Amino acid sequence: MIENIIFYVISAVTIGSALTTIFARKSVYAIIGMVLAFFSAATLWILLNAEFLAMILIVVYVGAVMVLFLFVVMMTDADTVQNNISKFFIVILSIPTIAFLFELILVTSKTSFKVVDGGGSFDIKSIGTALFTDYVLATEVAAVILLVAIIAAITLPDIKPAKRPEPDFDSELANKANRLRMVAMNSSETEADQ
Amino acid sequence: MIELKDVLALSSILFAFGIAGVILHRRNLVRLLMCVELILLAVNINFVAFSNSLADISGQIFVFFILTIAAAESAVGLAMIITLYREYKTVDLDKLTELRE
Repeated sequence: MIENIIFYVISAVTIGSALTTIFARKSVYAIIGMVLAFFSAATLWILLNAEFLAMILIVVYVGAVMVLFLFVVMMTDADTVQNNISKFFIVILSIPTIAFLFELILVTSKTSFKVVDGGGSFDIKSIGTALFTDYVLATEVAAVILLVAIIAAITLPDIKPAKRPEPDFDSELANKANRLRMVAMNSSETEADQ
Repeated sequence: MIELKDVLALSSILFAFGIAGVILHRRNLVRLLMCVELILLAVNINFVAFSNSLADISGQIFVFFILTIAAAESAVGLAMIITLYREYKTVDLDKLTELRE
């Protein structure tokens, strides 16, 4: 019973912070909303017996990715982008969104999913065993992808802005000496004839 | 005991909000990436919920890999945004029309 109450409170917090993410005027406030959404999602995952993933979510997302977002928001002028959206557009947008939402909830609540009694409870040991036995190839590929991402993220901002090649006037200026000259001269045949 | 369909409803709401955010902020690159992260969070919540209710560990393994790839994606994406900003001094998608002209 107490689990249900905690779940509903966490759901309310998650939805509220997601709304903050979407509708905040400043990007920094949107990031704070995302951090709150990730924290509440981690709490929900602990309720769903995924403690290890909850810790990973907080460490990787809140600790790393959100800080990266903060840096990017502060380095760029993301808030100066003119987002001239009319009220009419928001009404038009909300209709398919709400329809989509109701359809999703209707489908998921009407369908009877297979549910195992008691649910699954996994510790870090079983996750590690699964990662390095059944999913070892995927783990290796993920490691390579992370390496490529590190290299890309380090080298990409290092690229200098491409300079448009300015026309090199010095070499294209023709002076009188290297123009084609027409020279009047007698042909060799006429010389031979003489 | 948390009902499975309650968790699915929560993740549906998050997904719909993410889609709405992508449409709302379609001109701002940084906000667009943040809304994509919101969609990924909804997908991960679905995976964890099904992993719990089916007592199958595959869902958690999938979430592990999705987190890995999403972290790599946002790192590369943000690096690209920084590079773009240095070149064009804007993150407005409507002004990044170099290839069209």
